[in-house]
Amino acid sequence: MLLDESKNPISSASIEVGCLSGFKPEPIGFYFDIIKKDYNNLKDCVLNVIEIDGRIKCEECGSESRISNQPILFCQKCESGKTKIINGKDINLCSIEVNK
Amino acid sequence: MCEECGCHDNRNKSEEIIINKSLTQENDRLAHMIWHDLDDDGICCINLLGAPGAGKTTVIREISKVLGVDKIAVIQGDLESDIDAKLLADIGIDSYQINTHSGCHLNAHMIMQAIKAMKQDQQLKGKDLLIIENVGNLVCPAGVKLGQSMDIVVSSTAEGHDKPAKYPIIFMNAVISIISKYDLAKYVDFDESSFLRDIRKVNPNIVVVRTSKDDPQSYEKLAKKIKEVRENRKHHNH
Repeated sequence: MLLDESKNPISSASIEVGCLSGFKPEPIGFYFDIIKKDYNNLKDCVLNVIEIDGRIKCEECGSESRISNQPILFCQKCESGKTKIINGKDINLCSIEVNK
Repeated sequence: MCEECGCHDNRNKSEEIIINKSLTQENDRLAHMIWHDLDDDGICCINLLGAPGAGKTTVIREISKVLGVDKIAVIQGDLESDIDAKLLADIGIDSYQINTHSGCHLNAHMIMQAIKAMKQDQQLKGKDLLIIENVGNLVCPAGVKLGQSMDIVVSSTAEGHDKPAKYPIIFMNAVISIISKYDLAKYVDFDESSFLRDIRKVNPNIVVVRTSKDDPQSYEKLAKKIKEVRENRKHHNH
């Protein structure tokens, strides 16, 4: 959809990158700036890439723990290994801003 | 300036459109279709991961001898060559070679095309397991859905014990970790306790199996573990 030449110019796009997704914001921004030059409706588009922390939920004590740099999946409260990742594995296109 | 009335009010100049869609959704949709398609045929799909030279093809050859070469089909992913496909054909395993050229991992679309070709050639008929031997890489294939029921990571002792600490994401998604070339551990200073400590930090419930090429029993244990995991995950909601 972003690459549809018939659409109005897109001034910005927002992407959320989970820290456990396998993607990193820096290369996404780097390559987006290269490819956008080839599309008229994207050439002035600013890409906002936000890295999202991961969250795990403990199946033993029910508490939630935050994960940022290192994917250590033990519950930070009771140290149980029975945890489930509830956030941070996805990469999502959240919104775009279209010039009228 | 507003093009309609000439005022300088910019409030309506642009419109925000909320999308909230995963950028991997097309791949994930195809992966889901593959999983259903294979499940309908009673085939369990394994995504076999590991660094180049970890011993992925050897693992496939050896467990095929235990589980039955006629029960297993393989999709091979390599940048170039059909060396691994020939190694499997030598012992009678049906396989389909994907050459990604410069591509660093397989995706669901590639697997879908491969399965289509294998079905046309009757290569999946009567099969119990479809093993996808992914491109040798501990980074890029992590988390890419291919329609598999489980990820298995092969790490050889010769690679060193620090792989789970250095490449945690690939181990995070796996259900079985194979320590291959285990007979070499003593020659390459493989610190097993360090490996196990690091792997359990990122995946506390992972099943660890040790294999050595000259120890057929180690592959019998691996085949048994795969069967157990498969049985436990049979009703797993993919």
